[in-house]
Amino acid sequence: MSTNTEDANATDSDEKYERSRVYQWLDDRLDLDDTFLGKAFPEDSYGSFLLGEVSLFSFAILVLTGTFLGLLYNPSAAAVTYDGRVAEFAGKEVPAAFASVLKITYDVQFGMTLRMVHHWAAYLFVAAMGLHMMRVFFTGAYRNPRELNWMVGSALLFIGLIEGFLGYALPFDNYGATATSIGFQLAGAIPFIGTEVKFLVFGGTWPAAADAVIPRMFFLHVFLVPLLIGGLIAVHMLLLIRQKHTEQQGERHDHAGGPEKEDQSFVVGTPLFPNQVVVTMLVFLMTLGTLFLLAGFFPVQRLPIWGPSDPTSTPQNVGPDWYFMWVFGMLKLVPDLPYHEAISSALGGVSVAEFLGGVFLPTITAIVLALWPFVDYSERAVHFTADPIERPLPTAVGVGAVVFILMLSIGGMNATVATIVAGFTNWLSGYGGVFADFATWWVGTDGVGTGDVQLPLQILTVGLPIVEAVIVYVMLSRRQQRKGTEDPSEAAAMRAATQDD
Amino acid sequence: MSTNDEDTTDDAEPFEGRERDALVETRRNAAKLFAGIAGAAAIGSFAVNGLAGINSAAVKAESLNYETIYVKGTHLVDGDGNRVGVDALEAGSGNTMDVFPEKEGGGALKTAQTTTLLVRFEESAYGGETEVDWTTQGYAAYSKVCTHAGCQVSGREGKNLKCPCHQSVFDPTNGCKVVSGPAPRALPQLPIGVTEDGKLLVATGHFEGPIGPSE
Repeated sequence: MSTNTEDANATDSDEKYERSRVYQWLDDRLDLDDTFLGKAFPEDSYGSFLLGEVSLFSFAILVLTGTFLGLLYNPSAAAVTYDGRVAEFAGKEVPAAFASVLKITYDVQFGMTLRMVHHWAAYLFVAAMGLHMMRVFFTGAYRNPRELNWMVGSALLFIGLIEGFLGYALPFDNYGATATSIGFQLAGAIPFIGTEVKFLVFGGTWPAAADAVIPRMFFLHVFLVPLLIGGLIAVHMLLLIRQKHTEQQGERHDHAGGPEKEDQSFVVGTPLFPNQVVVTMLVFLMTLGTLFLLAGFFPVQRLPIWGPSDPTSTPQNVGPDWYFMWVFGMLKLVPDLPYHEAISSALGGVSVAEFLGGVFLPTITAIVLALWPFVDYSERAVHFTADPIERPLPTAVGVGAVVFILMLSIGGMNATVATIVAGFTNWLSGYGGVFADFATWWVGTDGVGTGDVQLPLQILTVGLPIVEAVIVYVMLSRRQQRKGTEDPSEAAAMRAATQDD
Repeated sequence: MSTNDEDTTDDAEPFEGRERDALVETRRNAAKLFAGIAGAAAIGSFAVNGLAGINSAAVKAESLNYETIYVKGTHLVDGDGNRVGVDALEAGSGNTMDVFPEKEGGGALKTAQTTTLLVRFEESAYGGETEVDWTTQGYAAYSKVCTHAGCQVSGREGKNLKCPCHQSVFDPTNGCKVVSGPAPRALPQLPIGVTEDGKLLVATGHFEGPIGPSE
């Protein structure tokens, strides 16, 4: 398999970039093997191949803004007298960490903006990784030989989630501290080793020993986990360069001298330098611009609303950031099971609902995601992306999984759901008769509580993904039978395999 | 793109040669296995030492448990450390307040685990799972720590108590039994009474069971 770029293949290496004195200077000393600069980036009519770049640049922006914040943040839970600009806390004793984040936000020039950019970049980092993985999933780009890179990517997604969790506690406000204590309790819900894991990771009881935990989380958030993410990104990139991009078969046009349309042993695309670099710079600038726009207009995590951490109270409607809402939904929707005492003691005394919703189901989800290329296993090396329409089963599973995560996230916001249902039943009662009877039957007369929406949410969370996956599967496989076609990317892989023999 | 050439030449070799190869192969595999075990043990022993060190250095703050947070005669105090009197909540109002055990020498012992909810309903309102002997003048006290994930049960839903984290609902007139939501157990009740002069609230024993999801 070799790379074929449309305009960089004819030149001899001695003549490359002969007018660039920088290149010549480096080439003289490092003997650059510059095939890398000609790496082919396939045509992509949807722009979906750029999602990975968006998450890469989000990470870069996280590192840059995080460096700014890290220089000014004070990882300490010791009480200090606040003397900054926020009148609400003037003269009051607040934790030093909270005071320093207030200072960054309200007293340091540009501090508010950069803190918001950091927060929004974290959102975008996770969102772009999620969308990038969906693109890879639905086009089957994870298939043989790219299983390894799919697993590296899955690891990046979950380590990214952990990194977001670790940063959530650092301002030490009551909202973030409560979310952190839920995570702390969850770590304790791992059977048998939970207590050890909890103290190994957090370094103390949260929030009682916050003066030990905050510096630990700061170290993890700004050093250890980013280092891990950076390393995995490097592995991800090296594998990508080594294995080359997948290519959309439909985007390849026959032309004289070029590879045939069905030949998957080539990748056709624009070279990294100079063509793709321009696109890449554009993506970077657009990412940066979007983040500043969001940070400017939509401030997030406004600390003075919640105040400093207060272990004796929990703020109303507390919740994690959206990317953990599905775990939160699992925690809310998994009911207390019968035989709680017996199951609990068999698991080393952990709370069963907490273990199922907060540890077991998320772990199973992560494992299935990471090992999916071995479930949908491809015997032969496939180098073209697939059209999701041509792959009934994986596409149906993907649709089901997306609906499942969405339903769980809605379940995580069940208080909001109850409010909406209350509005709806109220409106329905206005029509009287059977409508009012239905509303009363559903929610009773004592107003809509989260208890009233619990069962419908549980049923929908289990049922809806299955129903949608079945519909997608039936429709796509009937289409396939009618047209008698098979996946062209698999067909190309089959041809390549038979030619080799 | 592998070829099978090496395998096919094998067949032509004499029988003894193949047997010797198999023996060498077995020995090599055994050597690799033992080297692997030795290496893993060497690295593992360092790792275990490191982990044990980190674990021992962890600050495990609370040595209190449900039997020691309150004992018989511990005064209930508010967040500022003032002792709670019998007129703290309006009779029959169904209102709640946060109370804490008094530290030795005064002040509130204020941690996430010790936070206690004081409620006051009509005396006749209590029944079911509530131990009526442990209430006084319509006051009842329960742990405020949710038995699901350890949040503070600081919300209300009608007369019931609601945890803001995962919406478990507890009925304070029925032993804080779980009405709905994922919590596995009722909030443990604290037996309370009044001092001899009839003015202040005190604990008459310890919490009836473990605090929070696990202890």
